[in-house]
Amino acid sequence: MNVIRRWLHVPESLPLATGLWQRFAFSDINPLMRDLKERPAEIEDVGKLLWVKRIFSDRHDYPSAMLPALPQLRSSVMRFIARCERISLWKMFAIHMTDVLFSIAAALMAIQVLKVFEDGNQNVPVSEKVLSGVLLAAGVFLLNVVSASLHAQKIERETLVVFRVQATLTRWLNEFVLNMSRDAKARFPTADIVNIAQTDARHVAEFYAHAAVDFPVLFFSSTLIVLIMWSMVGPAAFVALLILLLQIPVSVFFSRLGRAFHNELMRRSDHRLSLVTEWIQAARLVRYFGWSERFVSDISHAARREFHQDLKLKAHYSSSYALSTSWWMLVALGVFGGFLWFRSGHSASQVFAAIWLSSILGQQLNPLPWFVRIYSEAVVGSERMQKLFSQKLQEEQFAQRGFALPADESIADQDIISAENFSFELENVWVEWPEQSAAALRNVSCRIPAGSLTAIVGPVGAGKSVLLQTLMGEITPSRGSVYVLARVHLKNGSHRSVRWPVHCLQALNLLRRFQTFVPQEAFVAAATVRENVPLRYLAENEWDEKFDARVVNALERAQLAADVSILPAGLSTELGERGVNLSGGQKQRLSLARAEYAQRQLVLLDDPLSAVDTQTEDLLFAELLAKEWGAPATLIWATHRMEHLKNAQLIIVLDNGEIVEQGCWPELNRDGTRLNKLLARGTK
Amino acid sequence: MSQPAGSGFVARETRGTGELGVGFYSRYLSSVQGIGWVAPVLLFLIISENFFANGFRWLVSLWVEGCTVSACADPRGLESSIRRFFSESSPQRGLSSLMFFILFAIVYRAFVWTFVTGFLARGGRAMHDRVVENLAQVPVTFYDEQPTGRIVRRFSGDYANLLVEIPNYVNDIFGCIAEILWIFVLVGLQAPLACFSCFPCALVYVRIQSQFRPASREIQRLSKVLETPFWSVFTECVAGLQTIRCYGRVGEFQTRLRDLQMRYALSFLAQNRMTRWLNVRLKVTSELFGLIVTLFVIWALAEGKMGAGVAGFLMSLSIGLDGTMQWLTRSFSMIESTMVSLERILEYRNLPTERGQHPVAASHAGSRVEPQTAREIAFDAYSARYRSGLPLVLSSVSLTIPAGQRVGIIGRTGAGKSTLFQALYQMLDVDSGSVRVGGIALSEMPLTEARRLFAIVPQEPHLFAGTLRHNLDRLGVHADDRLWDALRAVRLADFIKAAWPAGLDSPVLERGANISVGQRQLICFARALLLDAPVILMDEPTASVDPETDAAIQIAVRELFRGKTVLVIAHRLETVQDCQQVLVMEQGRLAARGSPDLILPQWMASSDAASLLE
Repeated sequence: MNVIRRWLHVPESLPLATGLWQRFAFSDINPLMRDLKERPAEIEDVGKLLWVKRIFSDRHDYPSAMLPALPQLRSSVMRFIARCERISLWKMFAIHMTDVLFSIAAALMAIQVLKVFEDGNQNVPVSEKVLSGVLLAAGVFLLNVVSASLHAQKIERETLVVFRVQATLTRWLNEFVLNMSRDAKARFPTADIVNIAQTDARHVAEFYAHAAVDFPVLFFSSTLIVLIMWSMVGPAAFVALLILLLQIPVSVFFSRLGRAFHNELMRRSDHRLSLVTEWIQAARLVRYFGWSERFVSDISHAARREFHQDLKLKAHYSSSYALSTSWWMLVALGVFGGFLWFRSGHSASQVFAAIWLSSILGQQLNPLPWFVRIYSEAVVGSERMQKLFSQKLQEEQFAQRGFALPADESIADQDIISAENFSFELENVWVEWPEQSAAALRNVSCRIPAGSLTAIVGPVGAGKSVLLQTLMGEITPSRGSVYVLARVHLKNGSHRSVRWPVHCLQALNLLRRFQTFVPQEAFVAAATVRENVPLRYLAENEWDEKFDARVVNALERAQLAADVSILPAGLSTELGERGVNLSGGQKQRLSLARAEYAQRQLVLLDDPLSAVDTQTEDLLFAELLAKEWGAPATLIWATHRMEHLKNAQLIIVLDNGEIVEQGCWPELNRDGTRLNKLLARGTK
Repeated sequence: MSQPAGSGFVARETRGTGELGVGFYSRYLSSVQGIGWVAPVLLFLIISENFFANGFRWLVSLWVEGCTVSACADPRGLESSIRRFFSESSPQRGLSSLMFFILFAIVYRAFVWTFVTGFLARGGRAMHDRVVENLAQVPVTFYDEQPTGRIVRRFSGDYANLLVEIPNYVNDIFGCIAEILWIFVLVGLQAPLACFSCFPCALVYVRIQSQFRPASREIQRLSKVLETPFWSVFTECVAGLQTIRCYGRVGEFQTRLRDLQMRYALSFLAQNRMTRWLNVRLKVTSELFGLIVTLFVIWALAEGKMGAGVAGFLMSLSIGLDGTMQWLTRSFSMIESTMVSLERILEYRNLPTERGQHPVAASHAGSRVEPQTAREIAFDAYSARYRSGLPLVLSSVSLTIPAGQRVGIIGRTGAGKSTLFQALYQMLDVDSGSVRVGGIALSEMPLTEARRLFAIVPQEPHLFAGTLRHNLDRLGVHADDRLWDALRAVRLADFIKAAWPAGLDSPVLERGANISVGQRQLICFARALLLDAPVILMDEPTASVDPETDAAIQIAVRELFRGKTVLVIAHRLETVQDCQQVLVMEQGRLAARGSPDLILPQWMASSDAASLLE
């Protein structure tokens, strides 16, 4: 609650509760609706709605974080949600049950109006009939109105549950993925993970919000209505029930068929879309090669196929809706048939009781096939989430492979102020993927010295990136061990030299605080330039000139300042998905600017030179080696540039995952070495 | 965070905010193919289809009453003939005719809905095709101004709206209106006095609507605006996992997600509360209508002016009325939110085309260009810009490249090196001058023919999703042997044979994600080889390949491209050294040209050697 207050700047004096009438009539939103007729909506507007804030304080039983919930998530997401949401579910059940009872009562009273005027009551004076008729009509009106409000309140809770379940699951999925082991992540393409969060989490949420409460209500209310009908129209009521139940297999059949049609439609429209995306992404290329016409005809062919499938689906939906919206007529007709069959007389009030009650019953039963569907979707979604949640977290993988920090060497993260002099020791390191037969690293042993440049060279696919990522703790070796050595400065003023296995949580945290990594393909966040460089999201007042100066400085050193200055909003320009598209080289320089900005003691570069000019590279290189950042940084660089190789204290030559040579430039710069062959010296 | 993405560089997306009037429907319907003669048919189908639900209750009321209360005297009136039919026929016959009525209603309804929505969707598809054709001809700079995601959204969300949502909403809106009209008509027929109850209710409904729709539109827009960032951050967390982790920024992104979720939740729940507000009020309106009708019925029954059957029928009219009104309101606001989609697609249908920029001179339009033979390339005082209104990117460039020469192009970033290639592909807005190949101005050749003169190995090794074959030869004109030859030339054949059992039909993921950057570059090389064009353009093609492979490719390339004109944007001195000619670009001008021995020392002296390399 206080979080919301603070976040929305709601003063403590404002109440966070709504009055009874406002809750009944939803009238607290009136002023806002009037305002919005005149002007656009702002986030502050919705923040002012007391009720919206109140509903956030609604009780639930979610654990405070993902990790404590993980064992439950792994065993069953469905059961877990049921446990956390049970209070809301009971409340919704109570409200819904009441509103259904009210509307049944209203229908009964309406039938009573007709009964009053029927032939049987001839000895009652007309004025009395009119009086009771009017009273009944007023009762019908009131009951229906109350029932409508209750129903709206229940749906409002449904919405809250949908939101809360999906939001929680989505956030935890994200947290989980961000801490997942590298090879587990490789099994789930980005699109799959996004799909699990968007679709599967929603399915589970929808099941709990709608079906989990509505189904038991439906069961009770249908039983009640059938009993009432029986008492009013006699055994013909059971004919109605029979026809109503007949609708279930019919709708199940239709929804099965519909799903098959729909899947095919999705397939066809995905095909069209992927063609379009490719075509647009490579618009220039397509024209260079003269493939435009081919793409156009492929796309319109795909569009035609999609349309034909859509027509089938339209015919299907139309028939299924036509059946379900007209089914009550068949039910009523069944009752009339029942009258005939059982030879019972039928008065107008009985006939309309049949119509009324069967349409209420129909409304209740209509969503039944939908319940069945969302139940099965929720089960599938829950299983898919379980599958993801059952993957190993990085720390779990470390533990499983027997990497751990001896307890007496451990230092609390917050006690470490800074660290320097990073070096690494690798002993017989193997990296193997379960999916591939060839090992990515074979028996790699070496020592990477502190405070100097180590170059990693090798042909395409030799395992340079794998080695770098193993050093960072991203990839866990299947055999062998990797140690990081560093001098850490502690809070109490002392310093210590540590030699930790890289693959433990503490070392990982240490590296992440003090390392810089520039990947081969740059990452650009959908945020402003100002946020992208430090990789931090900023609130309105979180930056000042000093902050900007530091960002600009980093941009300048990465040779990106000029590019940024011509952007429409300078440092405030949005990049990424919804903003300006940077060129490959610009992205790479942004990535370097990020490294510049961070000024860390351990720098890993995965051949980012492919799109960057050598001037930038030399500048950066000079700075790193010139010890501008205080103590000499440790540099590990996958590179081919001879100038750097000459400066490297150690050159590691990789081929096929093996170290074929290592040493410094004078040692390796001889005829017949793998390095010289690789650099293709003498071939020209 | 919320700073708008300015104008200049990236064109801002148009956003419709105003309310939509009749204009929208007429614009929509007139853009649907063949609507002219079908419109009255559609209208008739929709109106007639909505009679059945209330018509059934009406028939039942007549069936219950028969000729008992009201007289069946009028021999020609429709109602009394139906009453007579029911009272004269046996109960079985009465029931089975009702049964036929229902079955017909179901079939008719299914047919009408399929026909109406299918017809409108067909119009949507025709628009889609027009947009695709148009985009294929739009000047290529268009793609620089528009982020890819924005264009793709036209084809995903916007097109889905056009294909599914808008037809459904149009059908629903007309259907709901027809149903409400039928209620008016039936009440008017049965109890003309009760008609007065319709007017106040209609007024209340219109008032509620007019208050709800603008507010709901606004809040819906806000929700949309607040929802998208959440998913984009979610997606980039997954995609940029490595960088985020390495900088220890996991917590930062998690907090961000939570904040975005909170913002979205506020507007999402407020939007929902508005809908509930509407639900309650519409229900009250329809119950009010029911109450007035019931009171009228009580009066009529007491006076003996009405039978219980008709009374029940009138009272049952309010069943589902609130549902219909709600659906109508919902459809109105939904169609408002999809209006933007239609506008966006219509906008893309009317973009200026490339051909408009490069009129083909009649005299040369039919002349075939023989692609294989090498020819001289001549720039004659050529000046051009990316788009009209922008500064010149090439200014009065004049140079001649003899057939079969190997030419290196050097210069700083933004000096106009790649722009020269763009000029050859006629992707620029020409200011003055011309480019001639073999004596014929490029602008006078048909565009596709002119482009066939060149083959390019671009800077970014882009691959298409599909198969390897697909990537090498999209048009399917080459035999397998030729494809393998090309792969062999770039030293990929052995690797592919060993690692990819499916060979040429091996799958390539989107953007070549399953292939290393170096290998992607090699495939791009093979692709250019296969084009067999007389002029080869290369833009620092071997940047991400190790020197060993690079050297081997250089040899292969030299062999394969013998006799062809080759233009290389150089990033290494070695590349330029054996060229016959070196061009130095500076701020869109040709600063110097000549043999490497002449140019390079000069260049090294005049500026920092490193800055030659981009």
